[in-house]
Amino acid sequence: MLLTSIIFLPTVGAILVLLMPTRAAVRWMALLFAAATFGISLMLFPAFIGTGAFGASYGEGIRHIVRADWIQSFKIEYYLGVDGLSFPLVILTTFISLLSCLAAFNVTKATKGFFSLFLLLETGMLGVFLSLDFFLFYIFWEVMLLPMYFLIGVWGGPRKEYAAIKFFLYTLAGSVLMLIVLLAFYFIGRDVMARPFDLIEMAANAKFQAAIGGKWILGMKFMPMAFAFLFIGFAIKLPAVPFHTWLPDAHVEAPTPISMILAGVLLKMGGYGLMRVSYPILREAAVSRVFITLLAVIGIVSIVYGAAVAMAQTDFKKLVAYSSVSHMGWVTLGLAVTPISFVAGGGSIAGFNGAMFQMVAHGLSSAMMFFLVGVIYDRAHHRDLNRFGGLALAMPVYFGLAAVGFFAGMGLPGTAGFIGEILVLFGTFDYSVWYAGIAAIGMILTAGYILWTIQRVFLGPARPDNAKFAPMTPREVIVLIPMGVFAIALGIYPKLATMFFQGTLENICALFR
Amino acid sequence: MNHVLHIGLNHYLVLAAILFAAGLCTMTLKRNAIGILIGVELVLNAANVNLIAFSHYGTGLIDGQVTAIFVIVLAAAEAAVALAIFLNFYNRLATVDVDRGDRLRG
Amino acid sequence: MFDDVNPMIWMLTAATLLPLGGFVVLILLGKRMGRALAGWFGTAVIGTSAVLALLVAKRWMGLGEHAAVADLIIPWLQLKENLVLSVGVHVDGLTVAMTVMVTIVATMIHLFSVGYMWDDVRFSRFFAFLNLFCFSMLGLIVGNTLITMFVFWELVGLCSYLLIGFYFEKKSASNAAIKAFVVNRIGDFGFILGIAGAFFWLAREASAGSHGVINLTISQMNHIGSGLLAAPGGAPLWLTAIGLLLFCGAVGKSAQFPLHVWLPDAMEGPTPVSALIHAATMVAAGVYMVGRIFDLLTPQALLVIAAIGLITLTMAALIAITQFDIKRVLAYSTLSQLGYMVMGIGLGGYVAGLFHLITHAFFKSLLFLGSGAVIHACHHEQDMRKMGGLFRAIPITAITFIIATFAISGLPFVTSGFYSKDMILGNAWDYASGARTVHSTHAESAGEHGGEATAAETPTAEHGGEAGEGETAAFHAPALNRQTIGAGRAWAWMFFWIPLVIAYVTAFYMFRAVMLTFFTRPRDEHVFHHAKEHGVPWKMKIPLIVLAAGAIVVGFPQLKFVGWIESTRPAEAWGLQISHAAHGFLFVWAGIAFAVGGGLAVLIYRNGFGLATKIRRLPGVEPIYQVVYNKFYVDELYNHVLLKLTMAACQVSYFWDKWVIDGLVNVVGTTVRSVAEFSGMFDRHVIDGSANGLAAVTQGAGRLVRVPQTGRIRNYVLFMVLTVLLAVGVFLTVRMVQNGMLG
Repeated sequence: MLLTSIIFLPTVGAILVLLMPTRAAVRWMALLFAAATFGISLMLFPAFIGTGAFGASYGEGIRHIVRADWIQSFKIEYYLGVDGLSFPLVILTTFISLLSCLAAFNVTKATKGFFSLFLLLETGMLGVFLSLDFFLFYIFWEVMLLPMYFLIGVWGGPRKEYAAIKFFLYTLAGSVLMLIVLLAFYFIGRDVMARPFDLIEMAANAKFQAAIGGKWILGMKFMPMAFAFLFIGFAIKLPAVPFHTWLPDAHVEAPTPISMILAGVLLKMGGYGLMRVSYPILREAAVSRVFITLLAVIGIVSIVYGAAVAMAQTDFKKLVAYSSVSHMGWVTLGLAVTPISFVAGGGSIAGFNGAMFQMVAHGLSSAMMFFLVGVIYDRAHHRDLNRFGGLALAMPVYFGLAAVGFFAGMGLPGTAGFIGEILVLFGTFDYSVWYAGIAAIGMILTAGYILWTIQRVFLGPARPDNAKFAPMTPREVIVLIPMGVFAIALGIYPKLATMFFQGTLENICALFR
Repeated sequence: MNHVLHIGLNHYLVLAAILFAAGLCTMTLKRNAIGILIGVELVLNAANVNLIAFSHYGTGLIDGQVTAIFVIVLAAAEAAVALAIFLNFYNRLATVDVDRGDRLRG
Repeated sequence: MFDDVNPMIWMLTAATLLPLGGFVVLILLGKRMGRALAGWFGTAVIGTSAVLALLVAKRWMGLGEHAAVADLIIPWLQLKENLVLSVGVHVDGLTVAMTVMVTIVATMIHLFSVGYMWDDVRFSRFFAFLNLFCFSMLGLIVGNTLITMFVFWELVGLCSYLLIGFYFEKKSASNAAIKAFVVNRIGDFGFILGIAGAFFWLAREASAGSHGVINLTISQMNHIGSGLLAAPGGAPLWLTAIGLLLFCGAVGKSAQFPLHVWLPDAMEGPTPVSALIHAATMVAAGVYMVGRIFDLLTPQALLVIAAIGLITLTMAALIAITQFDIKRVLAYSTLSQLGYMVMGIGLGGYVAGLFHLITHAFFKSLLFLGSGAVIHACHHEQDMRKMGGLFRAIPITAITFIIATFAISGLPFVTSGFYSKDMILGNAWDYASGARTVHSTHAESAGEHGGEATAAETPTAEHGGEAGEGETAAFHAPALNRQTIGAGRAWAWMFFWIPLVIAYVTAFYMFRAVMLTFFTRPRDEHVFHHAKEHGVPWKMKIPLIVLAAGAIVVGFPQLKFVGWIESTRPAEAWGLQISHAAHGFLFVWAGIAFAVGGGLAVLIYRNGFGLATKIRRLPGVEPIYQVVYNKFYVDELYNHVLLKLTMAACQVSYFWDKWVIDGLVNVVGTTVRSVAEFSGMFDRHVIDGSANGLAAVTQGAGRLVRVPQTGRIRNYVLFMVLTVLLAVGVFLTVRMVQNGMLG
C-alpha cells in the first residue's frame, strides 16, 4: 500500500494540477505533490534500519510487498517491493524530483502541461524502481518515456525536436531488446515457474536457471544473447560509450529541471536494470570472461573517453553531459569486475558498492551541476564557456555553491564522488591492476576539465556584462544547498549510504557463489 | 336489360381501378401536399371498395368489411399524422409544395 | 568503543578539527566579522591547536623515549568481508614532531598574514582557506591509514589550489593553480593505485593465519613490509611496485623531478601561502609520506627514490642561481632542499630526511616570510633587479633573513640546517663507502641506547594497532630495508659528491639573493623609498623573530626533534650514528660550504650585477646560462608536447564522437528515413492507389444511382408505380410465355 501510494501519488497530482486555475496554483500544487511523495518515501526508512533488514538472501530482503494478479492469462502481476537495491534510488528519485520541481518554478510556457507531465514522469521512474514483475517493470519503463519525450520536445531548446526524437528512438531501441528478452523469459519460464515474470523468483528458481542455462536459440546459447540484449538496452540508458550520443543532445536541449531529472535519476535506471535484471538472473553470462572484459572495457572507455570529450567542449551544458558519460562509466566498470570475485568464495564487494554509491553520488552532483548551468544560462542566455569569466566576483554565493558541486563532480575526497570512484577503483584493482590503472587516468582528465571549466567561468577579471547579473535568488539557493550538503555528508561518512544498500548487494553477490 | 342493370363484381372492380388510378395520378402529379393526401385517401378507398366487393361476392362473410373499417381508421390516423407533418413542413418552408422539400435528394 | 583511547589522541584530534571549525565560521561569517576580528580569530584558532600540540609533546616526553604508538581506528568503507578501509588517528614520535612544527609555523604565518594581507579585499576568505589548510595538513599528519592520508592529501591539494589561485583575477594565478592541482593529480594517480596495491596485496599477507577484520593501519603495513623485506630470497617484486607507486604521490606533492614544474608557478599565490604551503608543510608531505611507508620500500625502490632526489636537488639548485624573482629563487631552493630530503630517505636515512624536513620548515618559512616582508615593503615588487640596499630600510627583516640564509647554508653548530644536512650527507657517505653494511645496527643501537630494550613497533591485527613490547633484539635485521644496492661501489659516490657540491651552490645562490636584496646600492629609488617609508609592521616582525629563533634551535638535540623521529624506528636509530670517518670529513668540507659558496656570492655580487654580467660574457657561458635560466626547458616540453598532445587527443575524441559515433547514429537515422520515404511512395501509389481505385468506382456508381433520388415524394411514388407495373408486366409476360399464349 505504501509503495502504491508512492508510485501513484504523483499521478494524482498530475491530474489535480490540470484543474488548477492559475499558474501559481499549478506550481504550488505540483510542489506539494512532489514534497508529499518525498515525505511518504521517507517512511520506507524504518524497514532498512537494524540488523537483518536485508534478509538472509536476495529473495528474502524484499520489504513492503504488494502482490495482486493483473493479467491472469499470462500470470502477470502487479508486484511491488523495495529492497536495498531500489530503496536508495527511490529516495534519490523523490528527492531530486522535489528539488527539480522547485527548480522548474521559472517555467512559463504551458505550465500546466509541464507540471502534469513532470509528475507523470515521476510516477514512471518510481514504478521502474519499485516493480518486481518484469512486465510491470517494462510498462513503467515505457511510461516514463513519453512524458520525457514531450518535456524535451515541447519545452526544450532550439533543436528540441531532434533531441527528443533521438532520445525516444534510442531508448525505444533499447526497450525493444528488453522486450525480446522479456518474452523469451516468459516462454522459458512458464513451464517451470508459477510466476514467469517474477524478477526475484527468476533469480532464485533453480529450475528456471537450469532452463535458461541450457537453452539454445537459433544455434546460439540463449544466456549470453539475453545478457547482451539486456546490456545494450540498459547501456543506452546509462549511457555507456558507444550508446551515449543521445545524452549530450538531450541534455543540451532539455530545460534545466528536466536535465536534472535526466542526469540525476534516469541514467540510474540503466545501472539499476543491470543490477536487478541482468546480474542476478543471467549469472553465468555475467561471470564469463568475454562479458567481464567487454563491460570493463566499455566502462573504462566511457570514463576516459567521456572525460576527454568533455575537455574539448565549449558548451557548458554539453561538458556536464559528457562528464555524466564519464562518471557513469565507473558504474559499468564496478559492476563488471565484482561478481567474478565471488564465484570462488571470498570476494570483494567494493565494485558493486562503488557502482551503487557512484549512482547516488552522481545523482546528486550531476543534478547540482546541471542546475548550476541553468542558473547562469538564465542570466547570460548563452552557454559558451569562452564568453564567461570573472563570475566569482559578480556572484560570490553562486561561486561557492558551484565549487561544492564541481568538486563533488571531480571526486575530491570529502565529497560523495570520491567514495564511488575509489570503491570501484579498488574493486577493479582486485580484478586487474591494468584496468584500474587505465581507469585512473580518467581521474586526471576529470580534474583537468573541471578546473579548466571553473577557470573559464568563474576566474579572471570581472567582465562588464557580468555586472548586471542578478544575484542568486533564495529559490535557487534552496535547490542547491540540500544537494551540496548530502554530497559532502556522504563523502565524509559514506556509511550513511552504504548501510542502506550493502546488505542487498551482498545478497546479490552471494548468488554467484 | 337484366344484364345491363345487374351490377356485379366487375363493376366494383372497375370502379376501384378508376379510383386507384385517380388517386395514383393525384399522388404523382399534384405538388400540393393536401392534394397528395387526397390522392392517398382515394387509393385507400379504392382498396376498400375492392375488399368489400370481394367479401360480398366471395366468402359472403364480413371479414372484408371489417378490414375496410380498419383501413378507414388507419386512414384517419394517417391523415392526422400527415397533416401534422405538413403543418411542420409549412412552418419550415412557408409552403405546402412538396417539391420544395427535396432534402432527401441523393 | 572509544573508552580506552589514549587522551593524546583526543588532543591531536581536537587540534586537527579546530581549524576546520575556524574555516566554517570564517567562510560563513567572515565578511560580517570585519578584518581585525576575522584575522585574529583565524590566528587564535591555529594558535590553540599549537598549544594543544605542545601539550601533547610535553606528555609524550613525559612518557619517556620509548612510548608506545597509540591508535584510534574507525571503519570507513568495507572492501571485503574481512578487509575494511579505515580512517583514524595515531600518535607517535613523528606525529608529535610534525604536529608541533606545523602548528607553530602555521601560527606564525597566520600572524604574519594579518599584517601582510590587511589591504586585501578577500581578507577573511584568505584566513578561512588558511584554516582549512591547517586542518587538512594536520589530518594528513595524524592519519593512521594510507586512505586517511590520501583524503587529506587531496584536501591540502585543494587548499593549495584555492590559495595559489587566490588572486584569481590574474590569469597567471589561475593557470598556476590548475597546473598545481593537475600535476599533483598525476602523482596521485600512482598514489591511489599504490594504496590499492598495498591494501590488497599486504592484506593477502596479513590474512594468512588471521581471521579478524583487517584494517591495515600504516604501522601494520610497515610490520608486514619489514617481514617481507627480511624474507630470504628478497622482497617480492610487487612490493617494489607498491613502493614506487606510492612514491609517485610524493613526486607530485613534494615536487620532485619530473613533476616539479608546478611549484615555481605556485609562487603566484600570496607570499604567506608560499611560506606555509609551498615551503614548510604541504610540499614536505610527500617526504613525510615516504617516511611513513619506509618499511614497504625495497632497496630497488629506494634507489629510484634516491636518484629522483638527486636529480631534483641538482637541477633546482642550478636554476636557482639564475633567477631574479626573489620568490622564485626561494621556490627553486625549496625544490632543491626537498630533493635532499627525498635522497636522504632513498639512501636509507629515514631520520636524516625527516629531520631535514623539520629544520627546513622553520628556516624556509622564515625565508619566505622575509621575502614577503621585503615584497610588502617594496610595494609588491618581487624582482631583485629593482631592489638592493634594503638592509638600511628594514633591518630586522634583513637580519632574520640572513639568519635563515645561514641556516640553509649550514653554518656549523649554531644553525639547525647544519645538523640536518650534515646528517643526510653523512648517510650518503656511509652508503657510498659501504660503511653501513659493515656496521651492525644492533650493536650501534644498543650502544647508543645503553642496551636497554626498546619498544618495537610491532602492532598486529589482533591488537588493533596497540603496540606491545616487541623483542627488540630479534627485530634487528641489520641489512634489511637499507639501501644496499651499490653500497660501496664507485658510482655510489655520486650520491655523496653531487649533494656536497650542491651544498656549496646552495650557499652561493642564497647569499646572492641576500646580497642583491639587502646590500649593494639601491637599484630602484622608488622601491627603496617605499620600503624606507613603510617598513615592516610588528605583526610581521614577531613571526620573523620567532621563526629565526626556531631556525637556530630546532636542530639542537635538546629539543628532541631527532629523538622523536628516531623513536618511531627504535630498531634502526642511526640518525646520529654516522661513522667517524664521515664525521671528520664532513666537519671540514660541509662546514666550510657556507663560507666558500657564500663568500663567492658576496665577492661576485658586492657591486650588483656588474661582475656577474661579465662572467656571462665569457665564451661558452651564455648558452649554458640560457638553458639553466629557462629551467632546462622542462616546462616548454610539457606545454608544447604533453599538454598539446592531450588537448589534441581530446579534440580528436570529440571529433570522433561528433562525426563518427553520432554520425553513425545519424546515418542510421537518415537511412531509416529514406527507407520510410520509399515505402511511403509505394504506399501512396500502389497500395493506396488500389484502395483509391475501389473508392472511385464506388463513387461513380453512387453518382449514377443518385440521379433518380430527386427527393420529391411524388417522383418516388411514380417510380414505385412504374416498378410495380414493370414487375406485373414481367410476371404476366412470363406467365403468358409459359402458357404458350404468345405463341
